[in-house]
Amino acid sequence: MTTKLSINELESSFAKIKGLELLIGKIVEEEWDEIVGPTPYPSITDLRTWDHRLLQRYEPFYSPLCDMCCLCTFGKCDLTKGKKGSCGIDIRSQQGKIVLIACLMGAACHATHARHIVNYLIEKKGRDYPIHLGEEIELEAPLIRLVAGIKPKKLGDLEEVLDYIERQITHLLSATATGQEESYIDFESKALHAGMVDNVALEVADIAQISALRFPKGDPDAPLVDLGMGVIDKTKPVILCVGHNVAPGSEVINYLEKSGIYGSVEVAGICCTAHDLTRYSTGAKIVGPLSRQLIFVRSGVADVIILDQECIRTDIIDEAKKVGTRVITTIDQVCAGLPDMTKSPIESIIKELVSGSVPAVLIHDPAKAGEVAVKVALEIAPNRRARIVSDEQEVLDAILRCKDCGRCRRNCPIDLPINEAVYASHEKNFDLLAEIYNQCLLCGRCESECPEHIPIVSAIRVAAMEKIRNEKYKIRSGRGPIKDTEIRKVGRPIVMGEIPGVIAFVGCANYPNGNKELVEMADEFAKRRYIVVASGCAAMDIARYKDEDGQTLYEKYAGDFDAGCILNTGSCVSNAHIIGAAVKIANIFANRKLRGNFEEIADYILNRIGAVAIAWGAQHQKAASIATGANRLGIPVILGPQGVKYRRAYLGRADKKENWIVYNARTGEKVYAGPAPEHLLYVTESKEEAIVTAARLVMRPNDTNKGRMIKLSHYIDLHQKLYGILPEDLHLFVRTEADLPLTMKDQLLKMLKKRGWEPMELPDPTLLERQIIRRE
Amino acid sequence: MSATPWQIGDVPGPKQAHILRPEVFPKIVKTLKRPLIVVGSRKEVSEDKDIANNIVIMAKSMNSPLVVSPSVFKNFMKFKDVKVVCMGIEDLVNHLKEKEWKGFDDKGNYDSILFVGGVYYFQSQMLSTLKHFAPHLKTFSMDRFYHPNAEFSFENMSEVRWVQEFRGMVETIKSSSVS
Ligand code: SF4
Ligand code: SF4
Ligand code: SF4
Repeated sequence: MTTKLSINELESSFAKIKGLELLIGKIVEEEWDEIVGPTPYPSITDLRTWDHRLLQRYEPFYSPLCDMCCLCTFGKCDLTKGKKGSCGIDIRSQQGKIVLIACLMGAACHATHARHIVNYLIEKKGRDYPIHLGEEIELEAPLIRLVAGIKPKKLGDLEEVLDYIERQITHLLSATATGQEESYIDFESKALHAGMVDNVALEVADIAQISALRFPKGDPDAPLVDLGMGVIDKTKPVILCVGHNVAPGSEVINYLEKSGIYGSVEVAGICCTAHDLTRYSTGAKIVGPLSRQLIFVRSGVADVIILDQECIRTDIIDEAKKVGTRVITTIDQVCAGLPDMTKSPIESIIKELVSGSVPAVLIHDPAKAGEVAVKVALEIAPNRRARIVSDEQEVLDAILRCKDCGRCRRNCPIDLPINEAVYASHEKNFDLLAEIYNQCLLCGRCESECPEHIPIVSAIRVAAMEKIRNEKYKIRSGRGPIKDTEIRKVGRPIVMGEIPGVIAFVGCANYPNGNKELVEMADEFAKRRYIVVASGCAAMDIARYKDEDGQTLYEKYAGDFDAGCILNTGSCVSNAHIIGAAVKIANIFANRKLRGNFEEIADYILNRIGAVAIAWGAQHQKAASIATGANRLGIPVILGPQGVKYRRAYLGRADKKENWIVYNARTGEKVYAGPAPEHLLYVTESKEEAIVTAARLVMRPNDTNKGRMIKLSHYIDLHQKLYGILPEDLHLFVRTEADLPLTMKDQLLKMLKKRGWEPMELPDPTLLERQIIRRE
Repeated sequence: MSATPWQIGDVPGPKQAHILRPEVFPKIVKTLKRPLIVVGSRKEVSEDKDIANNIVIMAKSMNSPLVVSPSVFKNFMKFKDVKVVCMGIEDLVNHLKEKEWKGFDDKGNYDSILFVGGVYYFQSQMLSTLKHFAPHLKTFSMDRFYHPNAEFSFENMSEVRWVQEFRGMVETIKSSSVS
C-alpha cells in the first residue's frame, strides 16, 4: 500500500510548500483540491463491508462445472454430497476460489496490457506526455480518481496506479493457494476486488493510448470503417494483427506511412487489436471478432500475422504454417516456443522469414516487428497463389468419409447439429453447412473429435464461401470516453428514470445462436430510446448484420451517448468508459465526490443509475473480471446461456422483503424499496429472457414516478410481446399509482389489488448509514 | 449401467446420474409426492404441439405445476387446467435450492424436479447446482440426452426414439393416474 503524506501548507525558514503529496519513493505534484475520501488505493479488506452488504442481498449462486478439486497433491478430492477436500474446503468455497482465480486471470491480462502499452508510450513520448482526452472531457479518469484517489495528468502518473494494481493482484492470488482464504463470501469479496482493479487497469490502458496515439477522443461521429471477412483486398499484401495490444499493429501503419506505401498494403485485425487499429487509422480494417480467427487464417489470405496478447488461438501458428503465412509474436505473454530474434539484424530476420527456414519468430520490439512484417509481406505476397493450394477438392473428398456418427455434434460447445450438415453434403446439399455458418463459433472442436479427421471448419468455409465474400459491413470506430457535456445532458433523465436505461452490449462472441440475436437486442433497445453502448467483440458483431436497407445499426443510429443512439466505445479496455460513464454521472450530475470514495459512488449507482450490461457471448476470463468489477459498483450484468459456465451468478430473491430494505437518507428510516435491481449477475437461457430481464434490471429505487412509469411501460410491453403475458411480479415494482402507465392504469390496478398490493414510500435510497442526512 | 454424457466433455466427477428407463419411470412417478416439471427453452420440444401436449398431460396426471422458460412460455399459456408458471430457470433453481421455500402454492418446496427441453449445457449446470446444493430434491432429466448431473437421466437416444418413448411413458403415467 502506498503511504500518502499530504501537506496542505507549510512554511519554514528554508521552504514554503503548498498542496504537496508525498508517496513512497515518489513526489506527486497535486493540484486537485477535492478532499481525499475514505478509501484511496483500497487494500483487499478496505471495501469488504460494502462487498458483504452486496453479497447478503445478491447471494453467490454456484453451478460447479467439475465436482473435483485437483489444485494440490492431496487431490483429486471429490467434493460431492457435502464432502470436504483434504485441506478442509467444501464445494462452495472451492467454487469461490475458482471464480477468484478466473477474475485474477482477467485482471492480470488487463494489467499487463496496460503496463505494456504505458511502457511503450512512455518510451515513445516520455513520462511527461499529458493525459488529454479532448476539450469536452475534463473528468478524464473517473475510475482512477475513484479508486486510486489521484488525478493523472501525465503518462508517468499511470505507473503508480499500475504498481498498485499489480500489488493487489499478487495479494489476491496468494489468497487462492491451499491453506489461505476459506470463506466463499470472502473469496467473492476478493473477486469483487479483483474486478475493481481490473476495471482500473482498463482505464489506464485506454486513456494512455487515447492520449498518446491518435484515437478519437469521445467523438460521437467517429468515422465508419470497414468490417467483415469480405472487405480485405486480396490483391494487396495482407498483414493481420490478432489480439489486444495495438502497439505492434500501429507500428506497421507507421512504417507504411513513413515509406509512403500506406494503402498498398492491407492492415487488418481480429479481436480488439482490430478495434484499436481502426481507432489509430481509418484505413485499417476489422476482419471480425475472435470467432473468425481459425477460418480466416486457414483461408491463407494473410501473408504475415502479428500476434500480441490475449484471445489468440494456441494452434494459430500451426494453422498459419500450413498455408505458408509467416508469424511474428511480439509480447512476452505469447512466446509460443519461437526463436527470440529481437536483437537480430532486421535483414537477417526478413531473410529467414521470407525463405521460410524460420516461419515464425518472436520480436519484442513493436517498431522492429512492424517493419519486418511489412517487408516480409511485400516479398511473399506475390507468391501467395502458389503458396496456398486450394483445399476445396480435398475438403469435398473428406466430407464423403462422414459416417454420421454424431461425435462432432457431441463435442460442439453449443450442440449444433453439425453431423447432419456434414452428412447432407454427401448428396451435394451444402445448404445446411452454409446455414450452420451463421451460428457456428468456428472453434473447431467438432473436427478434433471426428474419427474420420474431416476438416469440418474448412467444409463450413467452402460451403459458405459466397456469404463470406459478401461480408462487407460498416462499424463506427471506437469513440472512447463519454464527454462531460453528454453526461450533463443525460445525467438527470437517467437518474430520474426518464431515459429508461443504459444497455451495454459487451464481451466475447460465444453466442448460443449466432450474432443475429445480439443485433436484434441492440435494435430493440435503441428503438425504444434506451442509450445503447457496445464494446469489444459484441460491438463488432452488432455490425455484422444489415437491415433491409442494407445498413448496419451503426449507420442507422447516431453514435451519441443519448436516448435512441448506439455507440461503440472500442476495444475491451474501452469498457472502462462504459463503467466510467456511471461514475461520471454521480460526479458531474450529482456532485458526488469521487476521490477515494468508492462505497458512496457504488451506492449511488446501485440505487440510482439504470445501467445494465448484457454479455451475450461472454467467454474469456477477462469478461468475468470486467463484469465482477461492474457488479462491485452496483451495475448488473446479464449473461447468455454459455455464461453459466462461469459457475457463479449473484442472485437476489424478490420474495424476501427483508433483503430490499434501504435507508431513506432524508429521515434515516429503514424502508422497503422493492427488488431493484433484482440481480447483479444473472444467466439467461434465451434472447427473449435477456431482453425482458434487462428491462426489469434497469429499475432503481430512486426512479421518479414518471421515470418508473416509462421503465414499467417498456417492461410490460416487452413481457407481453415476448412472453405473451403481463408480468406476474408487477406489484413488486409499482410504488404508487403514479408509477402506472396511464393507458393501462385501470387494468393494472385491478391486477395489483388482487395481489394485495399497497402503495409504498419513495425513499432517497442508500445502503450506507453514513449517507443519512437527518434522523427523525 | 453406465452412459456417456451427451456432450462428451461434460464429465463432472464420480457421481453421475443413474440411467432412467422410460418404461420404469411411471412406477417411480407414483412415489413422488410433490413433483415439479421444468420446461427449458429448446424450441424443438416446446413448438412441437404433440410433445407440448404430452408434457401438459404428464403434469396433469402427476398433479405437478409446470415451470416454463420464458421464451417458450407462449406455447403453454393456452392450457388452463394445469398451473403453468413463466420463470427464468436460473431464478427458479435459486428458489428450489432453499429447502424452506414455500413453492408456488405456499405449501412448501417440491420433492422432485423433472427437466425437459432445456439447452443441454445450461440445463447441465442447473442440475449441477441442485446436485450440490439441494440434497432435499431428487432431479430427473427426461430429455434425449444423458445428463450426468441429474440424479436420474434418460440415456442418449435419437430424436425419433425419444418421441416414441416419451409418448409411451406419458400414456402409462396418464392411465395409471386414472386407475
Ligand atoms: S486444494 Fe484442497 S480440495 Fe483441492 S486438491 Fe488440494 S486438498 Fe483437495
Ligand atoms: S464426427 Fe466426423 S464422421 Fe462423425 S458425423 Fe461428424 S463429421 Fe461425420
Ligand atoms: S466449429 Fe462450430 S460446429 Fe464445430 S464445434 Fe465449434 S461451434 Fe460447433
